[in-house]
Amino acid sequence: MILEYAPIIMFLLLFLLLFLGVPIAFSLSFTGLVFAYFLWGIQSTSLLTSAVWGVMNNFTLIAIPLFIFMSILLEKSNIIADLYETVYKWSGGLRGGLAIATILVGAIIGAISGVVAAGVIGLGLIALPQMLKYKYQENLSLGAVMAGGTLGQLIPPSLNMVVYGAITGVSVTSLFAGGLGTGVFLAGLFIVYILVRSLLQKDLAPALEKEKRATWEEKFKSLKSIILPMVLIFVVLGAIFTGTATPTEGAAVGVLGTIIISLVTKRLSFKGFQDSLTATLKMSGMVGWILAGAACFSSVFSGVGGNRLVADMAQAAPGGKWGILVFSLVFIIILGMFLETMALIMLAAPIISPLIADAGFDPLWWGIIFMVVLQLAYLTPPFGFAIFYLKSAVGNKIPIEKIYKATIPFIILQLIAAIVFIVFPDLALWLPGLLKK
Amino acid sequence: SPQGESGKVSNGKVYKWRMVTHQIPGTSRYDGTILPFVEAVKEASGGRLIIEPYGADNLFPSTDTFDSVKDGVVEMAAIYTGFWTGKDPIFALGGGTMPGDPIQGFAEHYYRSDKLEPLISKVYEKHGIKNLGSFDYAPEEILLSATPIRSIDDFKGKNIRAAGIASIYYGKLGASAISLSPPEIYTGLQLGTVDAAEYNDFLVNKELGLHEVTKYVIEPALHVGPSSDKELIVNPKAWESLPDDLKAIVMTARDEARYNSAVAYGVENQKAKQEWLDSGVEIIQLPDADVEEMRKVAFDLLLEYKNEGAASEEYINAYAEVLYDLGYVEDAKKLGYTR
Amino acid sequence: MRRILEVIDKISYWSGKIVSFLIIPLTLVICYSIVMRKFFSKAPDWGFEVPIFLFGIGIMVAGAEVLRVNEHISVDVIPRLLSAKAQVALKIFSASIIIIVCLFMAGQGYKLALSSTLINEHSSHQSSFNPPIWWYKWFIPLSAVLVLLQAIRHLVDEILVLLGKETENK
Ligand code: NA
Ligand code: NA
Repeated sequence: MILEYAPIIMFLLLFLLLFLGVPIAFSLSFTGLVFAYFLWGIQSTSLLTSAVWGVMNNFTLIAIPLFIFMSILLEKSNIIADLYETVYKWSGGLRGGLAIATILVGAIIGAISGVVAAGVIGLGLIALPQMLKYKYQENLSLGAVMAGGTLGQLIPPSLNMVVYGAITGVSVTSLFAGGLGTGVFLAGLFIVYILVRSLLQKDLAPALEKEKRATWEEKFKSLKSIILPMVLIFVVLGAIFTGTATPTEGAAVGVLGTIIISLVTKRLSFKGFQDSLTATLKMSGMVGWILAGAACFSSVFSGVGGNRLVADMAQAAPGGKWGILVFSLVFIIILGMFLETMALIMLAAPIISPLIADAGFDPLWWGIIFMVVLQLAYLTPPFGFAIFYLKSAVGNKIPIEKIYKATIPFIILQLIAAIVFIVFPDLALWLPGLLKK
Repeated sequence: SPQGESGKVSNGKVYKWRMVTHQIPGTSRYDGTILPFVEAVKEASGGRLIIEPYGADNLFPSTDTFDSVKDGVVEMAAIYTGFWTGKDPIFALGGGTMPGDPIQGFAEHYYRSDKLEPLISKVYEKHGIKNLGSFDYAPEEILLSATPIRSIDDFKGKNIRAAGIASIYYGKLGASAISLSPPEIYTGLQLGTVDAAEYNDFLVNKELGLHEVTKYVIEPALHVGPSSDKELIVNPKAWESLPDDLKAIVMTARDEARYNSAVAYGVENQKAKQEWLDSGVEIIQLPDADVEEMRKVAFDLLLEYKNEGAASEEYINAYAEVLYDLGYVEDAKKLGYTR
Repeated sequence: MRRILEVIDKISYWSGKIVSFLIIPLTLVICYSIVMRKFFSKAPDWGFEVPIFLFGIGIMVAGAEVLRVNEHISVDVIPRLLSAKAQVALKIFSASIIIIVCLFMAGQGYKLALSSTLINEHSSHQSSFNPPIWWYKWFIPLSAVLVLLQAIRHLVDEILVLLGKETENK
């Protein structure tokens, strides 16, 4: 009897530990350990070392330290600062320009990697200080970083979608196309939101004062500082889309490119380089231990029958076809709070996606909705990986509750987007459809 | 109540076991055998043996299954033997993954796996695991390519995704073997990071969407013949604790899973092949002379494996005998079989 | 007492410092593999596992240094609302949880690494490189012990504060 509710009790224990201030990595692994120990005996506590070993052998995760390193180098060598200054000069009277640039940079990182830790920490390091420097409101800046940094979840290439395709039989190419369409739509929605809010609220994302605005000559002169970042983006994206490097390897190309650029332009001191190494290590270590904890937690969660509980609840959901859909959405958002994406897909997709298909919904459409909602789960407090990744990038400068608050408008935007794709399936499906013709 | 050979009487106790596999729920290799197997055990035992199945990486990374079964974290696993090549060299051969393998279809493969099972079981036993034998059947893997490979010379200089012995084999053909994890094969072929990739059969590869990014399939598949997708392994203590009638039920259900897999994978694979053709993929047949030369390269490689130790030598000799039994007399002789 | 605590800090600091350099070979190895594969079709067979080793050692060993500088992320909204004494109590609680986790990780990791060493275990990635990996498994108990030491160091620190023997020096 108690076993049936074990998954729920696991969540409660995890919450308790979190709110008592136990670091996330250890809250996750401790909860997993306790349940493994008391339900299955001491030998099962090896699930923790299995989880650690799994993280230590996952090639895709190599993108995390590489991206963090690249971001820190870009920041320390002022390459990104120059880029933002140029954007600032060019956006002239337009408010919110830097936040928009942040969303766009997030989309570009997303096209390189699907690892959300890379996107959020990267933007937290390079874009956030720039927005704050130009007096952008902190709340909006934090939100833009998290929203932009999670776009890699939707924008292809995405290993998550390949795995989802294998589980559900949905075409991966179609999922990629759907992810690109919805990802661009979301980015557009974020940009419109930023524009409208900055228009209404004078001090939210200020433009340069009239008398300080750059002349055309200054504007064109400043363009030379976008050359380096552009070359870098071109090289990395080029390496990936010509098949020269896999998306994971692409991050290493980016690091090497950044180092070369910094050396050639003499923008990086030896001390700065060494500090970058240390900072990279700390942030990736933090992420690595969280991922291991999350893997431990989710393995015990499925071991205690989390999937069965969910399947039973979905089938018992009232309201027929739409009831099942609503339940599934809520379920993904809740699970998305606790589990890493890949674990969540492995756990939820085999149970939920067939139910949705049986209810008469289009499997491809649902696959795209699944991915959109997953991205939302990254942002939802109290437990959202994007929140924690950003916190690790900002350190003690910004308390976590401010980051929590910053997610709210972007959660609402993502919910709106999800609802739009649900009510107008054609919006999610037009790009995959175009591809078929 | 039923009574087994050793006289251990069933006591009506309900056993709850956990079983892991490297296959993902929702795919044919999971739904086609794992689910029918646990269902059959439950039904035949009248609910006295309940096996809860867990899909790929659900409880722990699939490659940690070996230690987890040994230590009793889970009681049972249906899993690919090739994962344990690092534990013991013989497991490299034990999955039935033999380069140059002339064996075809499930009947011949089942004959082989029954003949070689004692050798594999002995190695498992040495490592503290009880092997119940081959669980199901996997048709030969196919070689997917984005560029045409029409002769043995075309292999030279190609980047080919491969795993296990096959990666050494492609090296011998002058290609460069690349390691990509399964989910990365899709983008690897799509973007041209690799020219070609070997991974599973028509059916499984189609589930991964690989037909969307493949232009050519190169036949015959010489890197690996038909094999066992999974071996059924158990924790020895847990196994001994079962009454004999439940043990018999497990073995019978395993046989049923094997039978199911011959249809669910074998026949369905044939059907899937037609869908590949319909989606515009071209199947290239390598010229006979080249195939023969490639087989020789493969057998030379197998002969090298004989030096890996007494167990490997014994295994390849037993394999050669199987080839002889099945009428592949010349091939048997090339592997050193004498009668 | 202080001496021992300082030594633990130094161990964490230096272990982190040393592995932080691994990102350089990591970058170079991957770039080298890319070039050899793309332009020479001679991808090194170690191009898959070596980056994995460099990455895995780095992130795991880093754990202790991350703990030393208090950068394991936590949700500290509620603790910050409490009295100073309650905060110290919660820190002791946190450190105890970390100690328990690391004890299990060290113990199970030791078992795992030992049995792997005894069979001279090689890679499970099915590459033709097939390197030994038993040594890599030792980084699990090693990292756990490093974090364990640092957590004990925090625990002792906070207990001293609670007993009023010392003031917090952070
Ligand atoms: Na992506
Ligand atoms: Na969340």
